[in-house]
Amino acid sequence: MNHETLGKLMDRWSSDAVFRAAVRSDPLGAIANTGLQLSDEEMAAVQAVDWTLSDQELAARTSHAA
Amino acid sequence: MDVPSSPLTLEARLSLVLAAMQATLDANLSVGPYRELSARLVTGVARQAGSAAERLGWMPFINLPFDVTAAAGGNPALAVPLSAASAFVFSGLDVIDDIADGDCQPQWEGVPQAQQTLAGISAMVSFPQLLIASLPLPPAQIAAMLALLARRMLQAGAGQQLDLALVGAEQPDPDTVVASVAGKSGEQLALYCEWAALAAGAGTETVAAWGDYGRALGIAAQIQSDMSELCHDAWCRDLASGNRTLPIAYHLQKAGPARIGFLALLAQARTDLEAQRVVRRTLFDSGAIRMAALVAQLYVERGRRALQRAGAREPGLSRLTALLDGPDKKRMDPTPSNSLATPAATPGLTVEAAFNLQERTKA
Repeated sequence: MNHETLGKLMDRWSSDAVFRAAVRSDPLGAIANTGLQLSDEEMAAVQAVDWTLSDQELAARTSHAA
Repeated sequence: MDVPSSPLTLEARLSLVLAAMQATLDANLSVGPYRELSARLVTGVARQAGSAAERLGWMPFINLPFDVTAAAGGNPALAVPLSAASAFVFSGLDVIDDIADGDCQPQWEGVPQAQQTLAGISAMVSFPQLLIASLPLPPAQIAAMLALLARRMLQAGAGQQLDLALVGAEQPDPDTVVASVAGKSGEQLALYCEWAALAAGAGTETVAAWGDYGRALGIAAQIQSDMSELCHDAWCRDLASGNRTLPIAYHLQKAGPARIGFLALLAQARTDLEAQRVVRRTLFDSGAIRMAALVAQLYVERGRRALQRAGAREPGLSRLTALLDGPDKKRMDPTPSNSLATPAATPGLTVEAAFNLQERTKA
């Protein structure tokens, strides 16, 4: 796993509202436009995450049945 | 032991496994204080797995040996001793982890810590080996399974040591945090899967793929469990203990000049509920929670690919896939007619929830 690449992705997510909106509508396209190189596994993970959820909703979903 | 060919309920699996554990104690220890001490291991497994069965429908040391055996085309009768050996490994690691964390489960109340340690060591270095050595398999397979146990226990120990070293760390490296999780949780689940694959006669590459599945599942589950506790438990025990879980490590790495203030907040959060709330809010705002969720998802994908490489098939494949899938899909019991497995009785059986329960039943 490449923490540096994912870290850059999350830095952009945290600081750029336009990027967040783009990721919510087209995660792979928006990330491809950043120039970040993700592995197949990383791309699959990006696709599997529901980016329309807020961070709180995402965490709640993670712990849905906890 | 006769095992029906049809899928067993989780309760039935658990009963068989507990019986096999007890039979191992009875066959190898004479009546006396040491057997009584060791029997507490079985009590602990029964307590934790029983609670998990009721609330969640699965526990790794039960489901993985049974379901990997099924998915790898192994002999169903071997799933019971494999699961019993796995349960002893689990119980031993759990005892050592509890001692490290200062936790004490009910079965150990009144037992001196040195004796708990003794029981935990026995659980890891005696009973699993006796069970594995008694399997009706060629000597080369037995030898490979015992060697694997030794290697995985070393890796689990290394993970535990990393975890202890990370407590209160000011600059925890996210890679080190993941390595700790991989050692503590990943290697344990990898072992359960690899044992079942080896017993099924799988080749080297296939066994490795099964190990990758278990490892990925264990890492994803532990990260999700840590996130769940951090985000949703009113009192976060990880924050109280000074543990550096993945979101905290990410935030500290990116915090820049704010790092000193956040470290002070973390120190306060060990005893202060309001400080814990501020930590949580800060981690949400910085994207650290989402980052950790993404990393957990990465391991889910890794586990999915490992299942493909392992050539996993039904029966078993769908249940193992469900462990990796979203919370709403994780219904683990093989028999839908079982009351434990009905959606109404067990909504959203999650791997992370199982790990959470494992932690909570210690309280």
